[in-house]
Amino acid sequence: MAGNDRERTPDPFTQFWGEMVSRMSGVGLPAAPPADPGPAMKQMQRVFLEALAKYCDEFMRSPQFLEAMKQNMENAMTFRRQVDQFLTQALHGAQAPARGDVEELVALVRNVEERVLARVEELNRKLEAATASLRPPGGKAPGARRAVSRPGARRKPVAGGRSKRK
Amino acid sequence: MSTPAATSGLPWLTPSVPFIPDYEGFWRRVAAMPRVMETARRVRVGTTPREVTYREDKLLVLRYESEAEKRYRTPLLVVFALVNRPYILDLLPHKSVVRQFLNRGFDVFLVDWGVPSEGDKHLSVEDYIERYLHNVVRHVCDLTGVERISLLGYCMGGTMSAMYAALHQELIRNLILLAAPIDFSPRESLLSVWADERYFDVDKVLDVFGNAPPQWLQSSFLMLKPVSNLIEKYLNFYEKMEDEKFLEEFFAMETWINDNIPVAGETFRQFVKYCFQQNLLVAGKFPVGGQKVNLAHITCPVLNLMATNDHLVPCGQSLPFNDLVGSTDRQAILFDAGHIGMSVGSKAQKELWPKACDWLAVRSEKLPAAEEWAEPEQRGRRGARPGGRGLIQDEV
Repeated sequence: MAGNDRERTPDPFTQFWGEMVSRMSGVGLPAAPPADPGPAMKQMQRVFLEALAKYCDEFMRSPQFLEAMKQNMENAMTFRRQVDQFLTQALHGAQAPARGDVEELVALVRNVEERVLARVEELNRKLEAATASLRPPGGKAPGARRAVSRPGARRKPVAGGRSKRK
Repeated sequence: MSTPAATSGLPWLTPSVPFIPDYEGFWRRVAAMPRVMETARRVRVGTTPREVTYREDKLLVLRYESEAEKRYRTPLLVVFALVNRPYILDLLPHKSVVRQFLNRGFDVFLVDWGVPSEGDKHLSVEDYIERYLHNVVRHVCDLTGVERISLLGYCMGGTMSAMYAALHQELIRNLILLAAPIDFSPRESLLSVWADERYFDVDKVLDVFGNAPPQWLQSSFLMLKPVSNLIEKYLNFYEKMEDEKFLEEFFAMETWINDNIPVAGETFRQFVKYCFQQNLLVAGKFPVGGQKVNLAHITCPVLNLMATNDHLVPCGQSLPFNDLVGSTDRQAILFDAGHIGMSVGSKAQKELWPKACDWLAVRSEKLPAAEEWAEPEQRGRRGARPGGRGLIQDEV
């Protein structure tokens, strides 16, 4: 199974690489990890990065940055619209469907789906009402686990994958 | 022997200050490169064995398998956000929230929302909650033979879980929220600032792009902490690249961070408008279908887990949840971690999740020790279910 395969047999390339680097770095390479450059340097680095992070956070909350971000988004959307327009014209010229055509089709299918599912839901409600009227007083229909009393309650998906929705 | 400090008159210039590059460390790291690449290639995420028990459109429900003995009848359904892949909750064997619950004997399910395509841009919050999530919950109930389940929601999945619990409380036995934004009025998080309607017209963006583009979402998340994500991360990598355990965890996280998915357009629009811009959820006015979500309808035991160093969902966005619900048994735990650290951090794995498991264990229906794991039809009802304790515990 794909998982944590811990076996590592050094392959020829790894062996070659290690040997090459050892020779290039010169003799006498100590086995221990390199010495800590010193807490002072680390401290300086940490303080610098903290200050930079604080500055970035303040800058990204400023109205100037927000306006710039808004303008950037507008430019990106304009560019995208232009690309879409160009591609649509090119595809239509080649008698091929474009993105907009597919989106219209998807919207149509979804509308049909919503109407059909709403109708099925309505029929379901009528059926349940009819079934409930046939039950003996105070009894449960066999196999029933939960009475569906909330309007618009969902059902299991119908065969074919798409479930009903309100 | 004269030192550079003595000869130059500069007291701070001592032989120990590395003004020359650390050649030894540099060459050691260069030598480690093949191992780094090999680790990157072989790292695997989300490896806990599981099976797919339910599919609907692009959604999958995963049921995790474990050799640990099942102790609790009440199953746990984990719901993650729509913006990333859910295997963050099962990233590595030693960094897995799923395994924590599995090892304690819970029956764990996870919702994988899948990757929305262009045709899914019309999917709304109602579709996700009242259709998908409701069908999943009913499926888990039917499969395990219970009437109510435990629900754990992470981040945006927590918001959706809270909404679902408010709408279908009769199906939820326990609710755990993990870094879930509920009240969007605090402006600590940069996301709340950037989503301001003066600067962000979500309608225009989605009319052009359809779904919320994954690259744009990822850039936004990275820019929330630019220094940490773009500088410190790589400095840290350079320092520790000889440590194989570090490399494995690093590449696992990078796999997840770069595995962004689009968010369905209509859902994104509703979250931005109704949550970030109008904050309707806390006001009890968030519309889902023909109903308004009222968190006071939640009466089950609630555990609210929050991260004190969360830059994405500050505590201020999650804390009000406990005051809004109608539960008498509610608990809040603030933990010292970041947003992702709550699930994959070592400290969280050692300290937070055992506590969460303890909390859930007390509130879940136990399996009789001698029972075989039978089909639901073969198991009868077993008398009164242990009810909630009615505790009010606020650990803040």
